[in-house]
Amino acid sequence: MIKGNLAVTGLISMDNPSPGLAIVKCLKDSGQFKGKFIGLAFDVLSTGIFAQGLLDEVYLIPPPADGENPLIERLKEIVRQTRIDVIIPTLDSEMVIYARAREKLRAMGIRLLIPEERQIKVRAKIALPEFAQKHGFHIPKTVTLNSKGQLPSVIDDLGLPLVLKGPFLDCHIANTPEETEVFFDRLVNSWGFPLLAQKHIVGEEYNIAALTDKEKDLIGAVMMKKIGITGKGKAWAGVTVHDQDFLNLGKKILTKLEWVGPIELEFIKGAFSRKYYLLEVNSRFPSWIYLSARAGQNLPLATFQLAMGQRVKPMAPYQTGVIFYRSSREYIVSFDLLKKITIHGEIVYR
Amino acid sequence: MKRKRCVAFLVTGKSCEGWATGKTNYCQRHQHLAKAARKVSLSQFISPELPPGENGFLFDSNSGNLYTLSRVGAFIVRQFYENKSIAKVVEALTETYDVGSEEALADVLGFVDQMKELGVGASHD
Repeated sequence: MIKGNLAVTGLISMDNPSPGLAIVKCLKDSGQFKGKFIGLAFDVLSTGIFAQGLLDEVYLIPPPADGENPLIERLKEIVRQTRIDVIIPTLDSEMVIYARAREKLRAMGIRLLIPEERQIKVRAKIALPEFAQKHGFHIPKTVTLNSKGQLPSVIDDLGLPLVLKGPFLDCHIANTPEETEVFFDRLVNSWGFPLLAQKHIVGEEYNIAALTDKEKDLIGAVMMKKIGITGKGKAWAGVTVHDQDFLNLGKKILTKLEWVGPIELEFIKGAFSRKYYLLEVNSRFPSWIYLSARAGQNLPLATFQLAMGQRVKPMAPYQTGVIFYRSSREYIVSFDLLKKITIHGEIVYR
Repeated sequence: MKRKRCVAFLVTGKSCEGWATGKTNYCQRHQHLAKAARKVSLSQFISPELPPGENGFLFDSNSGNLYTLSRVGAFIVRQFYENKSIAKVVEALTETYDVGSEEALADVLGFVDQMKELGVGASHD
């Protein structure tokens, strides 16, 4: 039995769900984990806060924009009440903060399995074209946007439709110049500058969720084809696949990134070129990570073990043809819970 | 070398007096039927679900593509998995369904072309 208390961030479970609850499910359903599941949320309306069946305790923490010191101070308060052995951060926007806070958290007894700040920054959306070009990976032509005035020339350069992306999250496919302007404003209002404009590649989307240990050796990697996609391009259904060439490409990217910990690689396979184009590298597990556990590679459980300093062998091949789909469901939440999290910044379910 | 009669009758049901040419067992006029002597192998990545008498389903674990098959399509693919040649599949089709051998051959060859295009399978000698 693997013992300890795990804390996860990313409890927003709306139309673009964060991976926090999926990670908890991986460990809970493994039957090999004994410990508490602690949710860390920025906002009282992060819907995952109310997942009573999954989380034992929930605490509010400051948002990533506040930096590492407020986070460290808040975690000090939390560990006075409840032990946290491992945190698995799940949002790209907070990874740098956790990397910077690593030593201080370690002193509090909290372990992480994440790369150094440098590696996290290399794969950031804005830096990815340079990384891809340097190492010869295919990537759709990408232009960085710092003002709306660039749009006409970008449309000339990339053609329509084109993909507009926020610096951390969110993307839209714009089919007309008017849509480009609307999506530009929407993304800037939500995320600020810079935005990215990317050539739209027609094809099918494939992702890899992977885990490397502290020596940067691959522990496991699961490939998924998106078979249901939301308007925001997020997987609403997917199926596990295996393509050795694709896996080798993924391994090569991880090696060049010198990656440690969980990661997701997003690709599109060109319908005409049949090439895999790297779309994004996310410095954390994806929201579909529960599929990895059900297909035979419980990557979040292994992350916990590795963070705790336990040895984990490279995983055996997973089952292909395992399908996931999401559905929307309504839950009733007592007003008391909302009061507790709002007033005290925490809920203890058991 | 001993000359051989065209074996087109095996597929068409009609005798042919022509002589086989080249490496095939067919005369010049029936060269297109040479394809019927070939077998079809499915990609190693295909996981089939082919219940007898029902529609079928193929999953390509490499691409993640899913293919549904009609009852007849499933019948044909099942025969391929039994290592039967295209001619034998045509024969089985004409015995099971109300279809002539020439029409069945054209349909099966078209089906095989489509399988090849999709990377699902390919014919071989």
